[in-house]
Amino acid sequence: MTEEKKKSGEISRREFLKDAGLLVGGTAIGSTVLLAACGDGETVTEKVTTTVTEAGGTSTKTVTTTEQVGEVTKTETITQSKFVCPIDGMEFDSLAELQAHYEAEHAGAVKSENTISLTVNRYKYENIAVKPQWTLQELLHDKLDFIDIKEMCDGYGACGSCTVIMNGRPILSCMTLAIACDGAVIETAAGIADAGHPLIEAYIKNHCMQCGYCTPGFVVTAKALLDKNPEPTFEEIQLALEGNLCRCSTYPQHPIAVLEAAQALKEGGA
Amino acid sequence: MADIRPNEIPYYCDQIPEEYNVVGKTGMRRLDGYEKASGKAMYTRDYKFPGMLYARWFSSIHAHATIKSMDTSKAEAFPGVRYVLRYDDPHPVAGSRICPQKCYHEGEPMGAVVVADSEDIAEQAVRLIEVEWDVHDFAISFEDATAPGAPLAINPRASMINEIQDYSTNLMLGCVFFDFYPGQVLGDVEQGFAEADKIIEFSCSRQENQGHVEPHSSLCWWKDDHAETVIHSQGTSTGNSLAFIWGGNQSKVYSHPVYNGGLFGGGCMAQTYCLFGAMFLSQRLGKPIKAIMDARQSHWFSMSNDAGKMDFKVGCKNDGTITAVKMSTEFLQAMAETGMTHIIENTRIPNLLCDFKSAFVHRPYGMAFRSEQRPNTTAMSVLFGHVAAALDMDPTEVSLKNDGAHGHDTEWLRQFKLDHGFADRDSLSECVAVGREAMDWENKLHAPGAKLLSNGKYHGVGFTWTHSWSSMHEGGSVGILIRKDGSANIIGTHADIGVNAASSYCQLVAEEIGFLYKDVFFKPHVESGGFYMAVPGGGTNMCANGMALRKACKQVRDGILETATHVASQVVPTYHCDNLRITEPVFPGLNPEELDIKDSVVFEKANPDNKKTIQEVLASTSPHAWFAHDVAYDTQGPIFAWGYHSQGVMGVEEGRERISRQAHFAEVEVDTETGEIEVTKVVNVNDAGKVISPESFNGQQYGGTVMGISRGKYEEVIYDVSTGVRLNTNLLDYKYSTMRDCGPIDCHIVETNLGYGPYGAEGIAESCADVLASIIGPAVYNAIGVWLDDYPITPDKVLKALGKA
Repeated sequence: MTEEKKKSGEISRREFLKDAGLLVGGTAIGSTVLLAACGDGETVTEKVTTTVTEAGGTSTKTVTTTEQVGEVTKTETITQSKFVCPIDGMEFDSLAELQAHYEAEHAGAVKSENTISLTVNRYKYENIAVKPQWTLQELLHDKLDFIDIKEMCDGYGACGSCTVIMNGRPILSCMTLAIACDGAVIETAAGIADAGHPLIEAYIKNHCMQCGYCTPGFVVTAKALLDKNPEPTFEEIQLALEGNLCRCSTYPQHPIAVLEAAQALKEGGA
Repeated sequence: MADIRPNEIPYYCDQIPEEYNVVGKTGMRRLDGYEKASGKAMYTRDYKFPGMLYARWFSSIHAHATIKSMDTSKAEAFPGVRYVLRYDDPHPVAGSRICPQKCYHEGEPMGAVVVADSEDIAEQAVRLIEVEWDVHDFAISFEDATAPGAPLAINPRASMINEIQDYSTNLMLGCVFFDFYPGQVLGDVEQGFAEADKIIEFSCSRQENQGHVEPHSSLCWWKDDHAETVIHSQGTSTGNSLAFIWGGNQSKVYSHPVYNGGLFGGGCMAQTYCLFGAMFLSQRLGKPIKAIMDARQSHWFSMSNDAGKMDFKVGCKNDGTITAVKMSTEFLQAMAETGMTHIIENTRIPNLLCDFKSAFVHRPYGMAFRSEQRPNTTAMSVLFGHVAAALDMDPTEVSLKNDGAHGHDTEWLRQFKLDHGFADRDSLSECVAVGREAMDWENKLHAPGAKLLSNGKYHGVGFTWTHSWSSMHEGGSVGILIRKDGSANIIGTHADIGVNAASSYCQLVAEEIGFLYKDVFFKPHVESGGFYMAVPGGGTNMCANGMALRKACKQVRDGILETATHVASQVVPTYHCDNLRITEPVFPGLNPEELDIKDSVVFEKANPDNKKTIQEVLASTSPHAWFAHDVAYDTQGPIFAWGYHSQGVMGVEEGRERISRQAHFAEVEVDTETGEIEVTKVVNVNDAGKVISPESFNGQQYGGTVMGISRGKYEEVIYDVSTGVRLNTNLLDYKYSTMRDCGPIDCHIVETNLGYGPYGAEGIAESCADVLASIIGPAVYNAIGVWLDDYPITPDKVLKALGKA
């Protein structure tokens, strides 16, 4: 972690993942150990919760000590973070130590890239070289030139502009590691438009855009809603689109457009 | 066909047509709609040049510090890094403009720029830079910045610093951007206080907002001595203008101001830095460069310019007449406005004094983030809210009582309208009447704190007003090219910021010439031979560019009709190409005055069945060359004309009164247990003068409303006072409103033609976002009977005001 990050207290999920280096994602709650000890009228309970990653990365051990002294209960919680080598499982107190260990013991042991295959809209992409830290948003926008996948919040998962439908579910591509998407089938706003979905004309007609930067994310979320719920209510549309931010605030028009698109679909529009 | 008023005198009303065919009509398919809905609209972040390299900045971690030493060796050695530009580079531009050694706010892009094969690599490499800092004292508050011996916060990079600034003090001698002359005075405030029945004093403060959407970037590719740029900017000629820095030729730098994700004015400073970096590095490295700021760096450049405090002393009579206003300000890096301007422009208050003070601080530059007028709109809201409350009057009545301009009453304003060709209409009265009915004001206004709802919350309503949004400043030039197939192209470099300007321009051209809307097209984002349209900031969009278009349209229309009736030798050559060949006009024996154009068809007025399409009229003009496959090769259209128009200057302009108004009403419910404020309804009434595109107009109203309410309720930039570090630099911590954060927004249009734009139009784009932020205070006062003037009005402040926290 750089001095800057320490100072500002800011670190995005993407930066965190990059710091972790080889982290692939996913966590599991490890063993919970309850220890009780008694002696001289004191009761001490220690609860240890260990969180480790499936494929290396970080290990967090939370030790909560509850001490009963007479009628007074004292509780102390200490969180210990460890950096775990994904190859041999050794734990280190800092990323620098883990990196030094990796260079000394495992240099060249792990490929810096993997390949995945994706189907994006109508097109299949085979054997795409992907670095482990790339998000799906980076891969689709920066490497494969799907410009319809925007990013307003810089990888915080806060804006919804990068929404795509993956295997039938709307996801935030900035919060999804590309390497974990092998074999995925992805729909983007451009694909939805190319397929002639009535959402597009409904969005144009109802002026659901101003600067337009966030609009593709709304379209994708709305498409996912209609796929699942072909006849949503006004309130259901608002709830579905609530996670998409629009700074120009075109909000009032979106539910109107989605209702129109739903009606068009019902009448066989697409 | 209406005449067009002289360009040189922008104080008179435009001539108003008796009827409109295209302007003001709904259902015109917006030109940018498909691109934006499908995601195929290209923003600066989406552009690439072949072989392009990516540049990312190092950022300061201190509010005020100098780099003692910097180790960039690890960054330089990082695979994929091609170059690192440092502050100690001998080129004078590097350390002064692109990556200076000293920072003046935390997060300032400075010190070094890393250039790499990908954005990802550049980002990683930047984090490998190690710096030893010489940390200085800093000041982020007005008090600290103006204390004796305070550290200077005037950033020499901010080239917009006023020329009159004394660089030995943080106390500003004028606004950053535009000259302001402190102590705007009208009459004698002491005499006004002496005449008053009641004197009230109160203070209002506001915190910074930010508004970024698309993170900043720009592209540049130098080839030989000429460059091409792609810019994220409202300034259409930014890249072109920066040619001066290199001592270059403006004609050799081309700008593409492509679709802009949410600039809101405030982002223009960031663009300047991005472009500086891209141009410099491209020239040095011989490669196309994309200079990028991440969202956090972009946040720093999207700051509002209105943080600070305003103290008021107001004298008023028991009938609501305000006799004097004295305002003292302590702003942070005020950019352009004092807070007093709208009071001068909108009221008959005869005695006004503004003791303006603002200070440079170690915060990001103050910019016109939607917009520079916010101090003015806030002042209007709190002034009229407090006076109405002090006198126990309906605030709409107080507004009507004081409506006027420059200390004059509405009768004086009425005479001004008549003298300058405007309609004899009272804009504020009309707006208030519409709004009161829409809000059911008579039944909803009640005594403060008097209405407890069945849900346990307190009900309140608020009102505010000001003049309609400015048609002020900026000039624009634009051409119109009529193609041989009877279609029309608008030729002008124009930046899109989401106000649907391109479609509206096409509506105006279709109206003026007689085209079908579908036959007019505008591709605004390309460099168009020096035709730079006015920056699309707020009301300038249509008001300057629309007038320029009207002038061009008149010439083009004349050209079509002359082409239809005359042989080549008789046609005035000004607006025709040299290769015009008309052997036989399609309306022989008729004069242009005997023809008209409607729906892309030219017809004889006395005999409408005698008609030809514009395409048929132009068929006999310029020759084709023919390629294979019967493809016609036209090098240019047969008719072209251009126009220019300027809308005067920024700020209060003598002799150019603001005569149209807007009125806003809000309804809230306040939970006195949690302090939560829920805005349950907003009514906006804008006198637009004349609306060109109703959907776009309403879009700006409801869009601005959500932003305004969001600012009023919870948006603020929070600093750690011990370090000067901003604590909420991402969209998780700095909240934008979502779809469910504002109740119904009821928008109404009043059209009085009392504006200075085409057909008497006024602007709209910044209106609601500026005005509605400070309607929360009056509404909350009506709900709970306690004034809150410290914006944003967050739940903790409500509870504190109620003595519960």
